[in-house]
Amino acid sequence: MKHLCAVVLILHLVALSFSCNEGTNTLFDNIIHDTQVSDNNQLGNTAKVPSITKFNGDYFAATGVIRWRNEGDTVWSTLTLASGLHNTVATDGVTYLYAGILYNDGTGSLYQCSNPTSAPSSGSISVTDLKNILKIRNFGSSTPYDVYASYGKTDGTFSICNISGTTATEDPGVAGISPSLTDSINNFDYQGGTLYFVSGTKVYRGATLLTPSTTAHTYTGIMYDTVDSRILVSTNDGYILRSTDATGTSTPWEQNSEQCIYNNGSTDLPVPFTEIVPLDSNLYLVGSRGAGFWIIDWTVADAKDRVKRWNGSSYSDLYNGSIESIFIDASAGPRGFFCTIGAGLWDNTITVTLNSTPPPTYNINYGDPWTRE
Amino acid sequence: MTAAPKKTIVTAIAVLLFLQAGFLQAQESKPQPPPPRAGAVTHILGDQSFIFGLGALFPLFFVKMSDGTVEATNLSIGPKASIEYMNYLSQSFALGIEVTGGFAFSPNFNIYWALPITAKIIYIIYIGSTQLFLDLGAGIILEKFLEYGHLDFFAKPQVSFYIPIDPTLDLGLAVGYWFVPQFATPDQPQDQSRLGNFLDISVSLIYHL
Repeated sequence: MKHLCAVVLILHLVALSFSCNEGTNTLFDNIIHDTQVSDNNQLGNTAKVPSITKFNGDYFAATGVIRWRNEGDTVWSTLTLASGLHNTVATDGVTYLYAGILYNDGTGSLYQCSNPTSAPSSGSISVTDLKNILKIRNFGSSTPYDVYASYGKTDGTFSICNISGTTATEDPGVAGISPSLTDSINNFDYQGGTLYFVSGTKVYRGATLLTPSTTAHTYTGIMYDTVDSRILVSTNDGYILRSTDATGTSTPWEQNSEQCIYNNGSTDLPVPFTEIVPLDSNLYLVGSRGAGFWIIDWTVADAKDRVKRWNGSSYSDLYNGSIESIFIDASAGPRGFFCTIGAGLWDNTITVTLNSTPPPTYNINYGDPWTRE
Repeated sequence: MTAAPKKTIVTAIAVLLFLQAGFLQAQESKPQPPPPRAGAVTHILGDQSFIFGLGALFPLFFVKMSDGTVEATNLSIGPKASIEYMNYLSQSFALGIEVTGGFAFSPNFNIYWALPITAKIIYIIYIGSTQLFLDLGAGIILEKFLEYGHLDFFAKPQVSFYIPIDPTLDLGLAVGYWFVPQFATPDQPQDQSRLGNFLDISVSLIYHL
C-alpha cells in the first residue's frame, strides 16, 4: 500500500508539472513556429532602442548614440551628433535627421544632421524654454514629413513643437491650453493637419480636451486612423479605446470590454500599453511594457476579443519585452520594427492572419524568421 | 522460470491487473500452453519482468488533419528513457505498462517534453534462443512546451529484438513509432489539429523477476 501511495503521488506530481495551460494555439503549432531568430549581433540583445526611423533608404535607431544601416545591409554604423544620450530620432525625409539628446543633469537638446551617412553636418536647434526632448516623430507618407517633438519645459510643464528645417516652433494649439500641461506627454500623432496627444489622464485633439471614458485612465498611446477616421488611445491599465466618430467628441468611446491581463511570472497584471500604430483598416498593433505587442482588430464583434496578445511566446525576450515604439516600414514588406527597452531591436515582415473563428486568434509573421539586430 | 509473488509491485499497477483479470479467467478455461521447445526459456502465466530502455527520440513530422499537409517538426533529436513492467499471460503473450520520458529542442533551444504512459500487449516470437517482441501500445502522453502543457492520446507499435545474457537478463534493441493525434481544443483554431509522428530507438534490457 505504501508503494501504491508513492506511485500515485509521483504520478500526481508529474501531472501537475505538465498541467494543461493550453494557450491560444495548439502545442504542436507553437513548436512549428518556433523558428530560429536571425541574430545580427549588431545592437546587442540587451540594447535600449526607444526609437527608429527611415531616411533615404537607411534605418536610423536611437540607442544612446545613433546607429544606422542601409535597408539591404545587416551591419550598423554609428553616428554621434554630440555628447549625451541620443534617445529619440526622426527625419523630414528630405534633408535632415533629428535627434533628441539627454544629458546627465536631466536637461537635453534637439539636434539636426544633414547628410548623416556620407558627410554628417550637425547642429543644435533652439527650442524656447526647452528642458529636455521626450520624443520626436515624423508623420505622413510623402516628403517632407511632418516632424513634431514632445518636450519638457524649464517651468516643469510639457509641450509639443513642430520642427521644420532647422527651426522648432511650439505648436500654438498646445501652447494655448490653459492651464499648461503638467503631466508628461506620453505620445502624439499628427494627421490631416491636426495634432492628437495624450498627457497623463487627458486626451487632446489639437487644443480640444476629449473624454474617451467616464473612468479615469492614464493614457500612454494615441493615433488617428486615417482609413476609418477614428481616434484610438491606449492606457497603462489594459484598455484600448476607439472613438465612435472622427472628432472623438461623442462619449464614451468604444473599448475592449475586458481588461487585458498578462502574467509577469508570478502575478496577473493589467497590460501597460504603449504606442499604437495602424496596420490596415480596423487593424492595429500596440506595444506594452512587459508583455510584448498586441494585435487590435476592431472588426471583431465581441468586444472582449478585440485585443489579443501576439502568439509568439517562443521568442520570450520579445514576447515579454517592453516595446516603447513600433515602426512600420510600408515600403519594405511591410516590415515592422519593434523597439524594446533592454531587449534590442526586433524586426520582421508583418503579415497578420486571422485564424478561423470563434474565437479569433492571430498569427503574425508565420514562416518568416525574426531578425534581432 | 516461475513467477515470484511481488505483491507490492502488482498492487502498484492495479490498473494493469484489473485489465488482466479477464484474461486470467479466460486462461483458466483454456488448454495448457504448448510444451516449451528445447533450449528456449519458458514463461508461464504470472511471470514478471522489467524492461529498461535508453535511447533517442526522433521527431519525424506532423500531419495537419484538416488538409493532410506534412510539416517538419522543427525539433532536434533528443534523448529518451523508459521503464516497463511486463506480466506474461503465456509463453507468447504478455501485458505491459510503460512509462517513457523524452525531450527535444526547438531551434531557439526551447524544450519539448514528452511523457507517454502506455498500456501494451506484447506478442513474442522465439527464434532459437533469441526473442522478437511485437508490441502494440496505447495510452496518454503528457507534453510541455514553453509554458504550455497538453495531454493527448497516444499509440505506439514497437518491435524489439532480444538476445539472452543470462537466465534473468536479455539485451536488445527496440524500435517504436509514436502516433500522437493532437486535437485543437474548442478555444483553439480547429485547423491546428495535427498528428505527430515520432520514432524512438533504444537499447533495452529485460530483467526477469
